[in-house]
Order: sequence, then C-alpha cells, then structure tokens
Amino acid sequence: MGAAPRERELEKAWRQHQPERARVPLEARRAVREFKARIAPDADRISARSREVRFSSSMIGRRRARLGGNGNCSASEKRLPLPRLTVRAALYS
Amino acid sequence: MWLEPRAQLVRIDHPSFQQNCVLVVGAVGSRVPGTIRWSFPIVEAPDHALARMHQRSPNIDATVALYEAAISFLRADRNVVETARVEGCTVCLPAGPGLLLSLLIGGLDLESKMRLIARANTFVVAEMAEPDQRPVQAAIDSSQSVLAAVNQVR
Repeated sequence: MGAAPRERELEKAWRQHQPERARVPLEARRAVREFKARIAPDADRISARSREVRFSSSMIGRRRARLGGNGNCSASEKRLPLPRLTVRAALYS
Repeated sequence: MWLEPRAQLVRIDHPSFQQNCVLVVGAVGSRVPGTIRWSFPIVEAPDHALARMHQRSPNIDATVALYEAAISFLRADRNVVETARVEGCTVCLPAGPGLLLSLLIGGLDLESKMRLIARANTFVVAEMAEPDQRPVQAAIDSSQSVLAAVNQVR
C-alpha cells in the first residue's frame, strides 16, 4: 500500500529539494514580474480608495459620536461622497 | 475581488514564507454603491508558485486562474476545508488548466481578526496531477461554504 498523500508530497518535496531542480526558468520569473507590474496599478487604486472609505467612515463615526445618540447628523453629512471601487469578479456569478 | 502584489504575508520564520506574493482579496459591498464594508484575504500565491504556473502553462491568464482558485476556495465545503487544515493536508484549487496545491492557514491577523487563507505551494497542470489530487469539494448548501464561515467571523 502506498504512502498517504501528505507523506507522499513531503517525500516528493524533499526529493525535489535540489537547488538546480527547484529553480524556475528565467522566462517564468520574468512573466511573474510582468504579471505583478500589470496588476499593481489597480491594486494601488483600490488600496488608496479603500483608505478613503475608512477615513470617510471614521469621520461619520466621529461626527455621530459628537452629536450623541444614534447619529443625528445632517442629511448632507449622510451623503458624504464615498469613492467608487471597481469590482473585478463576482462571487457565485 | 482584486489582486494585490504583496511582501511576506504570513509571519513565520521560514524562507518559504518570506517570499513576495500575489494576494487575492475579497470584499463585501455596502449599501452605498461602489463602496466596501470590509475586505478579507482569500488566496496567497507566492512568487515560486506563480513562476511554476507560468513555467508549466506558459500561455496562462494568471488573473483568471487566480480568481478561479479563489472562487473555488470560497465555495468549498467548510468542513472539508477545516479537516484539511487541522490535518495539514493540501487542498487542490482549480486554476485555469491546472491546480494550485495549497496549504490552509488559519489565525489572527494584526487587527486580531480571524483569517483563513489558502496558500499555494505550487501549480501543476491537470496531466501532472496524481489520481487523488482532485479539486476541493464544493459545499452542496452555500451556508456550509467557506464564504459563509468567513462571513460569520468577520
């Protein structure tokens, strides 16, 4: 009977743990660099906007706390402009 | 969901965990259109796994493949995933023409929020997969999915 899947994978990993064999080709590493460079601008935009969302939310929270109770802030404050995000994929689509 | 290039994500003192990675991040929208209520990490693809992906499938669309892996993980049966995590077993996430062989990591983040991520060790094309390396089982009922579990602990 063969080894359990986990043991087999560990065994295989040890056998493959030879620097020459473990090394990935230069083209593959270059492709990864290019891939990351492609996705970086979108990630930066989303990250920046998500910080804005947190900031806006905390501003509303502080204002509501200052006014007391459950947030008797003005209608204009409730409509603080919040940034729009681009959602790249939908779950259960 | 979106992709984020990141530095070391999981703070474990081991060379494998010190790699840079691409993280698939999920978010739940708020009632205000275009804004998010909270976000969470889903799949970590370290540089080595990404390089294997490009080596073994040179024409792969890595963006599509990573989203596919993340969606499979969120749809997976939470009990299957939890058993695999506790036993330290690998789960196989479909990613384009192959599978991301992933380790499950659960724990608190820097904000003390419980997180569960799938961390890819490597990528194999379908022909390389062993008979027992099959895609992770999806939850029959969505309330039993990983996504439902993530929702509960946010």
